[in-house]
Amino acid sequence: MIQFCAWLGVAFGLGTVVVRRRSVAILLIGGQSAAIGVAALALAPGRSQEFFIAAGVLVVKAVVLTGLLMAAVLRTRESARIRSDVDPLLRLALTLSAILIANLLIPAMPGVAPDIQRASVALICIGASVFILRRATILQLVGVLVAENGLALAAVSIAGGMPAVVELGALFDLTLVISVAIAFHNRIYAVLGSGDSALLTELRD
Amino acid sequence: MLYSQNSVIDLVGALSPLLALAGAAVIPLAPPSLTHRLNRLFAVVVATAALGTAVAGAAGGQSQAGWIQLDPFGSVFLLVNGLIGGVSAFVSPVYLAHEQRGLFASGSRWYYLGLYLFWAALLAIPLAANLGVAWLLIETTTGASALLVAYSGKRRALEAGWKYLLLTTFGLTVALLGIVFLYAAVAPRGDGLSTLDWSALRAAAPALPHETTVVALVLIIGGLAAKIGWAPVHHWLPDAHSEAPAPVSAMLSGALLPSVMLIAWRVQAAISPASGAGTSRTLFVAFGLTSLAVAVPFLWRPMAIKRLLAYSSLEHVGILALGIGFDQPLAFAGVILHVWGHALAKSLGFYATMPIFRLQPTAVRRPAAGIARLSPDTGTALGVSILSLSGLPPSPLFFSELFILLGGMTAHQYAVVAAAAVMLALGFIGLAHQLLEALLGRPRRDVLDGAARSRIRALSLAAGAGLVALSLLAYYLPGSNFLQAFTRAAS
Repeated sequence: MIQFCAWLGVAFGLGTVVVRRRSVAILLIGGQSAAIGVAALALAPGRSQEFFIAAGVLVVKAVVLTGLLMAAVLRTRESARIRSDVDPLLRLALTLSAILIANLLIPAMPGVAPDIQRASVALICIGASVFILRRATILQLVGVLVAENGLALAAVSIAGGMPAVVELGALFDLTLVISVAIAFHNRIYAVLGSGDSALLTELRD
Repeated sequence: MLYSQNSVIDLVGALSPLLALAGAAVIPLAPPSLTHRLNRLFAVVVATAALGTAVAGAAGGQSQAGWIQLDPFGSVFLLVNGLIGGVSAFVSPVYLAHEQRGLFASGSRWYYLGLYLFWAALLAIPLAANLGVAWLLIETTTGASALLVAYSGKRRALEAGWKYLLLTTFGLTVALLGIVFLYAAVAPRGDGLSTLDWSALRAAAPALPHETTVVALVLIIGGLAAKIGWAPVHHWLPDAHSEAPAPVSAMLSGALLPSVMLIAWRVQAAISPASGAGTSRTLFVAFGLTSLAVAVPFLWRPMAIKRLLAYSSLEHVGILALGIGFDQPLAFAGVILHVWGHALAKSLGFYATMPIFRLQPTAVRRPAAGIARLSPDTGTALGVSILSLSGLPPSPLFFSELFILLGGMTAHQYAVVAAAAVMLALGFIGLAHQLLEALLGRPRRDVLDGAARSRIRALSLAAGAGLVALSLLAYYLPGSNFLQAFTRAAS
């Protein structure tokens, strides 16, 4: 079950690398977060009550953050599509290369199934790729969330899971950061008339 | 008996962050006529509590209760966070009085909410007894301080805040992956939060697998580097420090960067038996040299004064990284002195930009010129700040840099010491040249706010006295009992 959810998450993640529309990318990240939440819930029997709560919060996070991002997109409609400087196929090729190299370099994590570790590392690479290669501010946020999902997958896969304080605290911090980032996105849109991070180019030395 | 001792440690340790949180709750809700007065009251109370806790931690050896740890190691940084946070809160009304536009409609309330939340997290970081909790606190600083960076609401401030928010969040994600790696190695059956206590990590380190620990160390230090602002992952630093309100810039540079560095240092000290001392030292030295190499050319370029101070921060976090990487008691004495001296001198420089921007509004974007002619008091503040930062004797930063370089010689890192010495000399010349232009160049505008003049004079006197005291301390610190206790915790 967890393997299926993990690789489903990777597939959703690769989708965020190539899709054009921000709303589609947000739906994909929502699906990915939900898949990882379901994987965590599937692991919950036999583990502590705190782990069960943390798994539940992961599912709630999938809904809440997707809703927040979708609301932001609806409030800040773009007059023209924000085109990335890099062609979608090239983005995909770069991402797959990064995944391959990272998985070759990183040794096995104790107590984590190799398959799950590979999927976690892949998600973090995908997140970095979306974050670096996409220009729309909302898509850069999606990149951060994909990477965070990779981290959540690794955390729940450890025998017993990460300490609940860290899991719940990290989710709280992530929600705080995403909320602040959405406030920034709204303000950037209000000032520049677009959520295109490439327009933020005044600070150069 | 043990329970009561732990309760006292919990109470003392948590006091200053809790008081700062109370400030965050009370000040924004107060009637507008009371906001600034309440802020000044909380600034004094929180800073006093933090300084008291720092002195208790410095004098009392290591003690831990729950998530809180008091020790000389953390006290060095808590002292800075208490002092710089307190002064920044205290001078904030001066900034707010002259800031016309804001990111928020009810500007000062949001400003104080962000400032006190940021300060509370900063005060808690040096007290955190646990790697997981420390990471959470560092991440908490991001949200609050990003809003403060963009407080003016101007386009450049938004750009700086956006970069800061995303780059540091991504860096911290990488650091958390390292923590997951480390936790999987330390507690393969998931033994709970306490396995990430500094003391537990130290105890477990000799038995940890080398390869996994090296990966964890690289991910944690590399991820935290993005928040510390070490080159080459420093891109947010010059932008955020130059666009934030001056009191916030002082906190970012003087308090946040060293606090996050403390956590990187604690990780290195805890797990180096497994990762190999050479690996961790190499990491710090590499970040140190790279930061110096990136910063120094910018210190030669004419640029706006806050941006110059920001690049100077990059240079100084590089020096601190070298001091940690040399891993010698004398270098540690240099690091202690440098953290304190840099915080005082840099914050004075940022506070001085408030009257400078009123004297010479174009200095927000262009190099300042003729400040000493327009206002001798403001010129003195800027002069004391930049000459101290450049390492001109008898600045405490001269002694701290000397100690760090001598520590490097003791560690037989001759090539690194030589390269660092050359870059420090170049940095000194660059900063001194910029200072001469800023103080004695031809002034562009001649308008002076008298109230600002008297405040900056008081700040200059206080910071100057502090810097002289630190220079005197340089004679006593090497070989002191305090340094021995610090070194035991840090290496």
